Amino acid sequence: MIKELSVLLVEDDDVAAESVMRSLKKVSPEIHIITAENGRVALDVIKNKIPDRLITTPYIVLLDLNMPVMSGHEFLEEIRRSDEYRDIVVFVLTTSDDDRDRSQAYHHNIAGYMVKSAVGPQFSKLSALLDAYRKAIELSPR
Amino acid sequence: MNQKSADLVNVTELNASNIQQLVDAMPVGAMVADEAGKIIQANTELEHVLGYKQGELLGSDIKNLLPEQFRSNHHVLMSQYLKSPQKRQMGVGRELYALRLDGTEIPIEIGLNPINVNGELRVLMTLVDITSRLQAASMFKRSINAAPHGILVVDESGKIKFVNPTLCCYFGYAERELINQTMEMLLPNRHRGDHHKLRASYCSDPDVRMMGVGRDLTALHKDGREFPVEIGLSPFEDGSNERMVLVTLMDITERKRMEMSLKEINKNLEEFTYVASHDLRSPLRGISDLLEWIKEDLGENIAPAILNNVDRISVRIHKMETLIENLLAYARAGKETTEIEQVNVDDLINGIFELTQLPENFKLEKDITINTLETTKTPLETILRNLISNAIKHHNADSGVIKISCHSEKNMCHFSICDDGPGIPEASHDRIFRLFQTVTSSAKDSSGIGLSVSRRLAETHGGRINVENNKNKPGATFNVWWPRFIRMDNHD
Repeated sequence: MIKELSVLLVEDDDVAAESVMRSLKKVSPEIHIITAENGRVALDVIKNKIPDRLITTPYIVLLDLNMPVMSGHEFLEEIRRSDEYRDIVVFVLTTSDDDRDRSQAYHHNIAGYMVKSAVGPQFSKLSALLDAYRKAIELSPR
Repeated sequence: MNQKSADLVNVTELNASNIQQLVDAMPVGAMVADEAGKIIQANTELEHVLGYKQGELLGSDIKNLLPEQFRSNHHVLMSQYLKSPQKRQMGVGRELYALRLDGTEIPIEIGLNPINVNGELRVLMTLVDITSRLQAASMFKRSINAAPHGILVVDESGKIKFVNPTLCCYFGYAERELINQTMEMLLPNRHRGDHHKLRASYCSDPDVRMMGVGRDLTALHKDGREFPVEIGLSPFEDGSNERMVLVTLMDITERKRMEMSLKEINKNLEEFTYVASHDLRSPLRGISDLLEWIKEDLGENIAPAILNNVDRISVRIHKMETLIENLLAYARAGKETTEIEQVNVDDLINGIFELTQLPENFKLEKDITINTLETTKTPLETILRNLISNAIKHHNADSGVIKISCHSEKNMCHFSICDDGPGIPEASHDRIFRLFQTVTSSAKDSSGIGLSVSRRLAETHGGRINVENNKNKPGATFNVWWPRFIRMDNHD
């Protein structure tokens, strides 16, 4: 049995988080989504320190950048520094199209950077990307 | 006084008529006197300078040409000269004056030349009125003293030879504290060690130039404080052929302070751009999603009045998003692009028309005499694309001609985009370049940002933009002047 891909969604805005969840569920109703409201909570989640938000591999992280307590950039810095979590696949999902944000994020080995437009349909690309990623995991021997 | 045998050996021998011709031909005041000091020849120039009529000087004593206070000692000096006569200037280092017939005194220079006239020792004297020269020198000195920037003169060994009051004021020293001191005293300690080497290398190949271009120069005030300066160097030789350097120095403290505050303002603007790009967009995105979900939850049986209002909210959300995008575009247009590339003007125009399709029945005419430009491509392309798409978008007929030209104009590259559309009312020529302004109220899918962004881009990159209505035919022409050469300032 192939494990279903999980998603850790790190987003401080509850509406934005719900919006992502709704879009993902439309494409993959079975998808397991865990949310964290900032980078600090997300770190606790990947360390499985929060009993009601346990996460299992394989999973990917969808990361907002501008968040209180611990920003997306700080979260990336933390996990890329640790031996255990440096390989986690992270996609940045943000409203910022600032070049500095983009290059700083890519500097921390992110798998992709998606700019949310303020309005209009989106996430179709994200869903396609998740699909492709899931297939890649299925093909890989691990 | 019979010393001719010994003293005249080395002296030019002339006869009396030669001497008359010689004196008359001299371009300066000249006279010949005998050993007793009697004037035996004088030319008209001399008579003119001293205010005498022709021939009036002949036979008179040269003492009469001296101001009263110099007369008593003169015969001593004269007999000393006659003991070993030689060609020289008189009174070097002293200021000499002559007494004119009208009693006024004038500053003069006198040259002495012993000559032998038929075996007799005579002295040929040249006399130059230096009034205007002294006036020029004093004018020069006064303007140096009144100069709004600091000036100092340094000799080859680095000793300060001259300072003007502004320089003293910059550094807090009195003139006497600086003269004959080594100039390194004006430098911060850390630059003193090697400065003599720099000075030596400058002296070996002196030229007029700015010092330390591209580096921040600082000078040391008497109180130990450092201040930023700009320094110009120019070599010259002084009266005694000593090699000197004239240093002009500007205290640029105030300018630096303004640069800093401008940098601060720009940083704040960038901060604002960031806030606009993220913090304003996120909640708007949320509102848009929530509205969508409300619509979903209400399902098919939504009351028309509610649906109408929901749609009206949607329209305003879109408008808000456009406004944010435009504000961002405008803010970014103020940021100078520094990426320089080779731009082929024709390719650039063709590239724009690949993305902005020319409608059917429209004709494009090109008149381009500039081949390539070394410049920042993106902002130039954005401006031209905006103008070209405006020319098409705002055209009021089914067919038309768009003319694009590009010629060099001094150090600028002049692009013009000429259409045969409706033209723009004269009164609106200024307004259309302002943020969020359009001429027509219907504003066919135009946000009113294109022209203001174009103008900001042009001005940020050293260019400018304007519009004029075509003469004697319909349509308007937009002109863009874009620098042909890259500005090297501001790029640090």
